[in-house]
Amino acid sequence: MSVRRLDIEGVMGVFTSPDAIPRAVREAQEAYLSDLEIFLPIDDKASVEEAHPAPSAVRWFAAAGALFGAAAGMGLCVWASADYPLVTGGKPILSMPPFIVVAFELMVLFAAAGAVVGFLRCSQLPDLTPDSAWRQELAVDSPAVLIRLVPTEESQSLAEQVLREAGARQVRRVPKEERGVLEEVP
Amino acid sequence: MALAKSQIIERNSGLARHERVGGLADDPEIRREFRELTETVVGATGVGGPWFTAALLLSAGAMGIGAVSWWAQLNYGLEVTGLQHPMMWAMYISSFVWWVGVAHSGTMVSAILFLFRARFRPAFSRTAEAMTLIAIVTATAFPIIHLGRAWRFYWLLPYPNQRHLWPTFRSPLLLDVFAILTYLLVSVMFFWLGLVPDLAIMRDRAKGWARTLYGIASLGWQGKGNHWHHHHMAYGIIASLATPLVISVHTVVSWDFSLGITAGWHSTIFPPFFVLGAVFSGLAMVLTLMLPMRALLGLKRYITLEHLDWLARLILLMSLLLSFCYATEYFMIWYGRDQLEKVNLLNRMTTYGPLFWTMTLCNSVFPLSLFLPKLRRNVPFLFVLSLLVNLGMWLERFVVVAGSLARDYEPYAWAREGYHVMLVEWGIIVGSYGLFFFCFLLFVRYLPALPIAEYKRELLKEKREQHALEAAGLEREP
Repeated sequence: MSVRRLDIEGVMGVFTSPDAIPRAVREAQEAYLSDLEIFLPIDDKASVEEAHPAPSAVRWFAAAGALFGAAAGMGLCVWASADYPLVTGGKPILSMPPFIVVAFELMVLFAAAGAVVGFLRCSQLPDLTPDSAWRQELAVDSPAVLIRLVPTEESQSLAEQVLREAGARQVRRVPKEERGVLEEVP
Repeated sequence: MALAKSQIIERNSGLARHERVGGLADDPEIRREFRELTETVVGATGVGGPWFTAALLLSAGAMGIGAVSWWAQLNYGLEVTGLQHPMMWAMYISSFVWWVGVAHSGTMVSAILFLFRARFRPAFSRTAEAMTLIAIVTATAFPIIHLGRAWRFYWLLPYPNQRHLWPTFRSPLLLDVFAILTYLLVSVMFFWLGLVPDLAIMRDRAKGWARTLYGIASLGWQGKGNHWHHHHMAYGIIASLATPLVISVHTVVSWDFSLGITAGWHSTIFPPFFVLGAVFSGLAMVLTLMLPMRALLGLKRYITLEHLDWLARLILLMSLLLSFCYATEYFMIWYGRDQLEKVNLLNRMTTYGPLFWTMTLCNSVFPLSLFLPKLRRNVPFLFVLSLLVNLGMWLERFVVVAGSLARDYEPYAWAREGYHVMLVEWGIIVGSYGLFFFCFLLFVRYLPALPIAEYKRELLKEKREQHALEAAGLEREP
């Protein structure tokens, strides 16, 4: 039997509320349609956890930044004080209590910077080219699930059926299209 | 056995979270509310009109006065100010401490309320964070202005040089530089990270160069699952870091004074005293900014009287804690029997009496009115009270900084006439307010004043609770 291949990005189900997303994700995964993407107008923890169960790696970036910052802060104080050994107020050249303050501040600074770098790296941002599936309403009031890689008529029908049964108010095919940088999308 | 209302909500919320079958999945009301919120907040950004232009011009005029005054000081030197031995720290340093205090409250309150998942946070977190950034920039200007030779401010930084001269890391003044710069940068990250999803909404509605700017600032955010996944973690980490950071920063600022041996300054109570004062003045400034903003931008529906009530409760709490610090300080001076400390305190209460007692009224007495629930929801009253608290906190900084220096260990140098604020100093103070309000107006003009995505989440939570109550046949508490 010949199978007709379709030139589409996937099938997208648009829902009324974020509360419908976890079920849609679960049912798609149960139907072996696991290459999917969710779009949410809010940070809905349950939906995100359903689609991305692994813990975020951002914390490791922050931890690395914290270690680097603390070491850099302490290193800077010790090195600069040793390089210019001026006694002030009768205090030792290497006075640890004030050095700890500098180390703490730089620890926090680099940990925060690490968190931002981790966020950019893990979420693959910046990416100024909108996806084929992207529409303005997704950021406003319409959570959605995009099931990718549905090249055949059969798998496409299955994806559409799964999304409808999960309560999608609108199911549509997303054609593959190249979009430009910061291209205006309706 | 009948379940308590809170147990029913919890049970149903749990079901909604893990099962998510039915529930609010098909509730069209949520979409409508999300859309209305987005349109209202985005619509408020294009604010203009005569009042806005007038406010902008007034702020720009005040900035101009500040610039001319600073030019005069640079041109003629610090002799044009009232600074003289022994009162070498006065108007500028008091203002620096006050502005840093205002700045510290924003991120601290926003971060702590985020970590505690406070329901009322979205109503004023964005305003508080914006206020933080602007206030810290304003605050940073004061030590530089106070230097006199402002072009040498870079000496504060540990930069490599041929003579191997390094600043001393044992000085609290240098710790201040590190603390405040760290706070500024972390606050920028915290503010921007929270703003990214909302900037994407702004991008989708903007045209031309504005679209490009919003697009770049929002990094191409599309609200994908992995975007939210890592955003949540990064935002949570920075909020967790910001909380101890702000406590440390105002502690370091307090060390500028308490590590000196000057009577009136040399006290271990200064760190908590400064941190509490910072939060207190910052909350008052949030109210001062938010009350006109909610009326003029049409945000009354989203910044409700209930939100103001919560904010007023926080202000009351801070006032009580601060008053406790005052009482402890005065008690220790009396109980410690250090004559110079006593003379110093007496001087603050008499020579600086009008300022001292006004400060006491504004910080410790007037806020007690917030025990009355009606007054916590009375908008004009809250606005006036917020101004009084701002004034009281500024006077407190001035009385502590200048008042203490007036009676140091050298009686021959005691300032007989006291300290007189000169025209240039008034000009620079006016300029700092101009800078602050000018930047705040630009913020209101170009960025969403409410965190849209976060507010939507709170709306959804509220709907879920309502749904759970209805399912259990209960009514929502007023």
